[in-house]
Amino acid sequence: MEIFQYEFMHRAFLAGIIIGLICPVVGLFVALRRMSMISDALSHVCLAGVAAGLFSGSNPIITASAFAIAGALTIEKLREKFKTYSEISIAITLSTGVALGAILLDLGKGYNANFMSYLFGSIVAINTTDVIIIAISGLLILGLIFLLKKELFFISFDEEGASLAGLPVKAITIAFTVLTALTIAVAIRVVGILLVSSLIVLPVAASMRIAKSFRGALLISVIMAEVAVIIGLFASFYINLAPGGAIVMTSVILLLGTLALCQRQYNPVKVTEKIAQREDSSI
Amino acid sequence: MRKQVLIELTNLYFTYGCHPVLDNVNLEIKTGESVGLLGPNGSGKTTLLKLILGQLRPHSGAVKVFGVEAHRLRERYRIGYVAQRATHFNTEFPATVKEVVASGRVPRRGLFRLLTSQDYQRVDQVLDMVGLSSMCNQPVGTLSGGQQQRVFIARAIVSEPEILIMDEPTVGIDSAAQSSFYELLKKLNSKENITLLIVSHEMEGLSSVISRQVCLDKNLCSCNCHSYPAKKMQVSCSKRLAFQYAK
Repeated sequence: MEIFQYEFMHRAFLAGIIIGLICPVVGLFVALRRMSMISDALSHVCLAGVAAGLFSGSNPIITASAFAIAGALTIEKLREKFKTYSEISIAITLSTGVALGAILLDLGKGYNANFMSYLFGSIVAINTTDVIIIAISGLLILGLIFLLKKELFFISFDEEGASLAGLPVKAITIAFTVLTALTIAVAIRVVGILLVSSLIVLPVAASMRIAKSFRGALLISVIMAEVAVIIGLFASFYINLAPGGAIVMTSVILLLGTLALCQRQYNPVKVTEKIAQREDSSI
Repeated sequence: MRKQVLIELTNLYFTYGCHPVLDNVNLEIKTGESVGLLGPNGSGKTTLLKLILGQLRPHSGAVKVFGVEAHRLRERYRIGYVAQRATHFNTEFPATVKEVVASGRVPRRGLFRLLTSQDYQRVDQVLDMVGLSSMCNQPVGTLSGGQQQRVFIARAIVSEPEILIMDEPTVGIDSAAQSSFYELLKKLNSKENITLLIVSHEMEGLSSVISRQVCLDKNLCSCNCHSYPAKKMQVSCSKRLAFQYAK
């Protein structure tokens, strides 16, 4: 196939497949913990990180990672200050990120094609260094999520119960927010700053409509994300679309298809009544 | 054989602002006991539990669990806890009964350690004990209130705790499910030798399960057990004194 004759497409597929794996894995816990807006705030903080990278001549993925991690820690700190209105911390971090990004871009006269490739993603701009950074970060993220999976599950399902059972909920939450920040920072090279949170949320949203178990939700969301990445990259190459847009629109179509195909809508109340009747009669 | 004291409250005093909630409360719970803590709404029952669970610290007096101050207890898996609103979880959470129960093993296993086949054997054993084996692969949100309550009890006991604490466990459960729930509690206490501390505002149904009642009331402690001497019911105590009655 023509698409595989180009080396830049090899890099794009490699980076895309890694991102298609880490985004939904992190995204499932993000969605279950009702933290979806955090990913949006952190992606906007990456804007400042990319601008700082372009301004200073450093690798923008590394500076974006540093900014996103700082943003994640800021959100956690602010959540302590605004316990009852924790979403305020997200709004503060998001607007600070955008404001700082605007200033740095203006200072560096950075409104150019290179910056646009970070806004919407680019397949031609992914170099070998980017792939190495994405692969190392991806391994680190997947490894830590794998080791903390059971704790994250417990906390996502019942935070108070996990705390009473003696789990270090605060430390795990901070570690997870940092991993989310790192995921977003490395994914922006392929999907773009403005669309990265969609790749975190959309495959998970589709999987949660059909999965009956946590393991199933994890598996389905990864499959959905990988399908979206592969179709998106093909569309990007053959139709010359922005890869971020193509990947996210494929995710949207998959989500809509899932909703349409799920004729038997999952209605816990009805199912509960039905099962309760059956089981109560057998007790 | 002398029974070990698992929970020990000594001259306990706790206040929210300038309103004392618990004053001079003394209580001992020993291995194998099944204690019912009753009292009207707002009588400080949940506060007392939070102190025992180490969520709150007393303003004076002491709360000891397994001989150490409650908030300093590291092996928290030794206490199983079923919260009052345990069944008020996100019913659309994609998790099976088995996955939720298995999460109860996590604190015992420790950070960064994966659950082993031994852990899953214990999960199967507990599911069988609470009568949920046939539903282990069902989404937890699709169960009835009584079945969900069993899931949370299973999650609490899967870590092999020595004490099981339950806050209003029968709220929202229909009467048919309640009777089988009481049978389960009896089994846990007698066969599994789990010490029970059950908080409730009514003890009618639980009277067959508990061996001792402890009553908390606003300014007066009383025990409204059917067989309790009327004279003692009128005994006026210092604020929030836990009053004990052995069946």
